[in-house]
Amino acid sequence: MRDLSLTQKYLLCVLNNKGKISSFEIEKVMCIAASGVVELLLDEIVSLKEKKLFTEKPLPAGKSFLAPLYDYIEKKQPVKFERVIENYSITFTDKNINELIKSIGDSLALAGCVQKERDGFIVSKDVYIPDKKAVDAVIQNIRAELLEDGELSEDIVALTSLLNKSGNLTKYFSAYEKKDLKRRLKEIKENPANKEIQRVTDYVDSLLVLLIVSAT
Amino acid sequence: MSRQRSMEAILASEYVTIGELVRLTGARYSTLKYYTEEGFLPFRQEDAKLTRRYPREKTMERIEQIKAFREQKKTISQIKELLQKE
Repeated sequence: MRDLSLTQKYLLCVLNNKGKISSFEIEKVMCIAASGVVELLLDEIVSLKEKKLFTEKPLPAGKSFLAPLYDYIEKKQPVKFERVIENYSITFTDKNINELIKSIGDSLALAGCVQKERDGFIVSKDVYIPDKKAVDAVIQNIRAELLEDGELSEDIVALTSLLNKSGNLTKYFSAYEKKDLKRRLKEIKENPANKEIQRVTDYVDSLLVLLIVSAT
Repeated sequence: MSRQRSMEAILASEYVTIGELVRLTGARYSTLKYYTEEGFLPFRQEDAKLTRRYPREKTMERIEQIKAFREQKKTISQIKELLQKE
């Protein structure tokens, strides 16, 4: 299995069979941007101080697929986490999120995990059809960590939390497994040692609540 | 809680977790779990609630061996007998 990052794994798992994400699927769109921010935070490329993001070091070459996100944070810093997510989700056009998906999608195509194709007649755009084996490898890795006793990695906890928030756990896990996964996520949530991940997932939660309120 | 190890670090380790075995071999988690419960894969575990650690080289060889047996259309009970004879 290739060494995929959190954001690459998240996108791979939420793309549909046609290689697309609809801009109406706002939770997924938000969580793509959120996964990118979490990855930058976990790798200490950016930091979160008093709810604001700052860049800490240049973006490593191996993370160039996060360049659109990193460049935005660098340009606007100090910038609120919410504002970064809004920049990719609550806008008049899909330009920003399309640019980010293209960047991550191209890296997945290079890794052989998706097939890049052109779609659409009048306005054509790239689509990234996920390789079933690559998706399954990610899901098996989640199972192997979260359904086993013992230690967990931050990457898997963050990925599962994001998949949970965007409603994608049902797609891959049985009701029985989901119960176990949620129990373990709850344990993690209640452990004070995991504050950083908790803080970020709380932000995503509050954004989703705001969105529901504004839509009603 | 720690970060997930890179493939390079995993390949340099003497012992690996079941999650890392999934990444190394491409085998499904449920399959490896089943092989473990059947006693096909050796592991060490310091406490019942702690992570199982598998000797990387030996376990990977064993998984390859089981895969080869499966390709020869051997059943699980036949494989069990063959492995017990070793």
